[in-house]
Order: sequence, then structure tokens, then C-alpha cells
Amino acid sequence: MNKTELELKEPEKRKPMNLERIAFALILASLTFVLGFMISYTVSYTQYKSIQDLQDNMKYDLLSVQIEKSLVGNSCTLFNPYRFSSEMSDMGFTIDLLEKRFGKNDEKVIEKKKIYSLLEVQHFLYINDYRKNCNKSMHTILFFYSNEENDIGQGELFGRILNYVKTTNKNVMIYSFDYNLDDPLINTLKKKYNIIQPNTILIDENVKLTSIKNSEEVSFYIDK
Amino acid sequence: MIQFLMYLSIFIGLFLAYFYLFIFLSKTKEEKPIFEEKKPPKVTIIIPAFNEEKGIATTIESALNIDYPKKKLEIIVVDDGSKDNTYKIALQYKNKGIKVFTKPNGGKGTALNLGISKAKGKIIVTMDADNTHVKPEALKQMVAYFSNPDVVCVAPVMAVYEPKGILQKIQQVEYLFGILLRKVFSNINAIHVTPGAFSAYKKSFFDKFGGFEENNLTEDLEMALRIQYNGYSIVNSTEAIIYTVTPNKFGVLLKQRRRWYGGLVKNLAKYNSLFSKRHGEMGVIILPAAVISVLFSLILTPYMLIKSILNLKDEFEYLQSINFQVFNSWEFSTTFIERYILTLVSDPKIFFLVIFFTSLALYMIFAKAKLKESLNIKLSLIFFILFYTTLFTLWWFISLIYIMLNRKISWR
Repeated sequence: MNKTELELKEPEKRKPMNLERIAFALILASLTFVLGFMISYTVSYTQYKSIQDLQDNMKYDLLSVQIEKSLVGNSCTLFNPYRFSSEMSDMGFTIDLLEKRFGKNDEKVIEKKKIYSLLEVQHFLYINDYRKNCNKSMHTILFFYSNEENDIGQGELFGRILNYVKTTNKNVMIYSFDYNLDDPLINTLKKKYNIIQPNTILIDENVKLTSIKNSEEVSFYIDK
Repeated sequence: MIQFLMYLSIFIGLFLAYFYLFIFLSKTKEEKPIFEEKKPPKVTIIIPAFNEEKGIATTIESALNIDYPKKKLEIIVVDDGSKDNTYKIALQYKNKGIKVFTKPNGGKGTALNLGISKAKGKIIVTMDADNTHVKPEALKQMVAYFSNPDVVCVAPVMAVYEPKGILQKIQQVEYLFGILLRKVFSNINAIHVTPGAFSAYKKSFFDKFGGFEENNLTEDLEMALRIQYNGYSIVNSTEAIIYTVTPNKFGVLLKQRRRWYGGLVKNLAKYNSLFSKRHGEMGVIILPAAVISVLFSLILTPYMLIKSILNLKDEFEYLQSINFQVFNSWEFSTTFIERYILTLVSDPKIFFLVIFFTSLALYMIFAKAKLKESLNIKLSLIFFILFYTTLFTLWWFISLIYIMLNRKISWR
């Protein structure tokens, strides 16, 4: 290294900005950004499609059960209370997921939720029949949850507690309804059971709870 | 609004990731300068020291171990009015050719300037006295870069010396992260922070533009910005590796960051004209991105933190409601796993998180390759991911409060 190299010279003019590089980075960032949303949208849309198939199958199955019942009457041996459990649970999960991804005011989600509520009621009646006519210890819980900002925290906690109760007791059937959904069927249920506030739990059609602190409070009425 | 800001920060992050990648790839095949053994320039290492009795001996030993022609290497220790035995310890090395000066306390800048005034070298290296460990070959690697007449400063690779405890482990990843970043910045002459621990400068720059600012708490940062402001180059030598001992106590670390960030704000305000097209990509993208990332952290991190605390509270409430019978509520079936995966992949934020972790992994791979040693950083990475953003935001919050209240920030 010679001495002149270590002397200070006038600096060379800075290279101009590489606009091509910036443009490429912007394009790739935009594409990656869109890709992220597309992947999540595609997954959510696949779920939306799957729930449609699930609901169609369930409609068919519940109708055949009804016809079967009309043909042979209330046959307790033919009755399987757990038959639609996993389908109901899958549907509930998917509706919840769609609501989170597309928003609770999305038309598609609302439509699916209404059909889901209808199927839930149909299943609820099916289980009620079984419970009453076959003298089996099945329990039904209707849960009128709310997604409104002020209620969502409590609603989620109640939902999780009820899920826990269901996990520990297979004879418990839970039916969740959106308290704020403008649906004639839900309104009828609310009227019938005098549900006047969100996040209300109705056990076996007669015990009404509007506040629960733990799973034992629910189990108490089930084990009674 | 928060959602919008969150996605905006993700978009900017993606843009920067690609931008840095292109810059990095643009110079991968560039030939590295070779140190000319026959004509080595005279180099002066200046070690300013104030109350460094614990680390000064190690630092001097490390400087003496540097592989450089002895006749061409001058080592100066400037005791900045220490009240402990720093000066006495430094004097013990006089017989090994170390020049030792002492002066009344005036700050690191004054000690460095005294060293510069006594230096015979054409290249000045500033070296921190608090346990700085220099790889012997580092200086030759750095000096080689001065064969480019535009280069005024050479910054090395900085790594944490034997990290212990959570704080040092977090800083270890932060420093490793900086290795690739500094290389990228170097490729477009956008280095705006040079390590105070060990950086090399052309003395002729000090002769023309003056020495270190004496009342500046981040005099190294001010110097880097001054070099950029005057249109000269700062390059990074990825072969020169320096290890530094980082703070292991929260209070000490906070004080260091308060000084760094406070200094950054004040010096960037002083050289605000660097934020312009005249300074190329550094002025238009890199410096603004640094400011924006701090602003985003100040808004988004507290939000995320509060949200996480509320989620934890909800989780605790739930666990309490089921008498902590966690295993009864877990159903590990394929449906459960399927649902969990579905929930994850249907959220775009998870996709971006995967990209973030991939980039982090690439940064670490590059750093490990440069350090040429087998680092076990798994635990450090976990601590970094868990706590760094929160710490970074906290440091910034406190630094900004200090600036706004105009409170004095001291070295120690």
C-alpha cells in the first residue's frame, strides 16, 4: 500500500440509486404479500366449500332419520345419539374459523351459520326425542353466545368450559347459537326459553345460567 | 387501524428483506483486497480507558497478540482520569512497547483525540478497553481495505464474547443478526454505525475534518455519520472478527442502550440531510426504514404485549374454571391436529411469520459461516424471539423519554 492511498482525496460521486433493484424488491414484496393472503383465503374458501358438503350430507341424513322414524316409530334400538356428533363438531369449528377469517358480517358466513343453526335444532329435537322416549341419560345444552365486543370474552370462556364438559362427558350435546343472528329460528328458541341476554346457557331445557365460573357449575346440573 | 399498521409493517419488512437480499447477491463474487505484507502502513491502536481496571489488561493483551508487523504497529493507552488502577495496570505494559498517557477526565472523545494527536500511524484504530478480544488476523484484513482510496473507515464483524445469561444470549443473536446486515449496508456504502469496540479510520480524514466530537456520547456514531455526510466510504470486513463483552445486568444494558439510542436520535437530527436522494439508497430507504421500524415497534409492541397478557389472563381463567385438569380437555386426535393446522394456515400472519423465521435462519447461517466456529445458539434464539422486541421497544421508550425531558445521559 503506498502512502498516497492513505491520503484523503475528494470522494467519488455516490453511485445513483439502483431503481431496478428497488422496483424488483417492491414487486416481489407485493407478490409475497398477496400470496400470503391468497393461501389463507384459499384454505378458508376450501373450508367454506367443505361445510357446504357437510351441511348437504347432514340435511340428507337427518331427513332419512325423520322418515325412518315415521316408518318404524320411535325405535330405541335403531337410535344412535352419537351418530352426528363429529359432523356437528366439524361444522361448528368451520363456522368459527370462517367467521374469524371473513368476518362475522360476511354474507356467506351468515348463510352457513343459519343453516348450521337449523341443523343444530333438528339434531337437538332428535336427541330430545331419544332422551324422552328411550329414557336415556342424554343431556342437551343450548348456548346462546354473542360475538359483540363487550360479550365475546365471556362468550369464549363459556364456550370453552362447555367444550370441556362435553369432553369429559360424552352424553352431553352442546348446541351453540349466535344470540345476535337475525334468524327466525333462533328468535323462536329465544322466545320459547325466554332467553333475554347474551351468553346464556340452557341445560336440559330447564336450568338457565347466565354466568358460570367453572365447569363444576355446569356438571352439577348434569349430574343431578 | 392496528391491523392496518401490522400489515403495513409486514409489507415494509418483506420489501426490506428482498431489497437487502438483492444488495447482498449483487456483490457475492467481489474479490476481497489482499494485505500487502511488503508495504504495511503504520497503524496506531488507541485504547481510551476510564475506570477499566477489570478489562484493561485483557484488552492490551489482545492488542499485543494482533498479527501485524511490530515495527508498524503502535499501541496507545489513554487513561481518561480513572479513579481506579487502570493507569497503573496499563503502565505495566510499557516495557512491551505500549505508550501510556493520562489526562484529567473529559470523556471518551477527548481521550481518543489525545491518542490521535500522539499517533504516528496513517491508520487509526479505536479499541474499547472493556474486554475487547481481537482475532489476531483481524487488523491485516481490515487494513487491506484501505487500498481503495475512497475508503475512510473499516468496520469489523462484531460478536459477543462467551455469552452467559439471558441478556447476553439475546445480545448474541442481535450481534449475529448485525453481521449480514452490516455486509449488506457495506455493499452500497450505507454503514451508518461503526462499532466503537474496534474500527479503523484513515488518519487523514481526522486531519481534514477534525477528531471525535468531545461532548458527544456516541462519538463513534457521529464519526460514521460525518464520514457519510462528507461522501466517503465505510466498508465492512467480514473476515475481521472482534469479540466484545456485553452487559449482563439489565440496568447496565439499559444505560448503554439509552446512550446509543439517544445518541442516534441526536446525531441523525444533526445530519438530517443524510435523508435525501443525494445519499442514494441509504438516504431514501435504509435510514428512513430504521426510523420507521422504531416507530412501528413503539406502536405495535405494546399492543401485542397487552393482547398477549389479556390472552394469558383468559387462558388462566379458563384453566381455573376446569380446575387445571388440562389433560382431560385435550383430545389428541387427527381431527384436533387437522383443525389446529387449518387454523394456522388460514391466517396470513402465520405465512409471514414463516418467512420471518426463514430470514432469521439465513442471517444466522451467514453469521455462523463468517465466525467459522460451531455456535450453539438454539437457546439464544429462543430468548431472542421471546424477548428482543419487547426489550428493544422498552429501551427506545425510555431513551425517547430521556430525550424529551432533556435529561442528561451519562456514560456510566
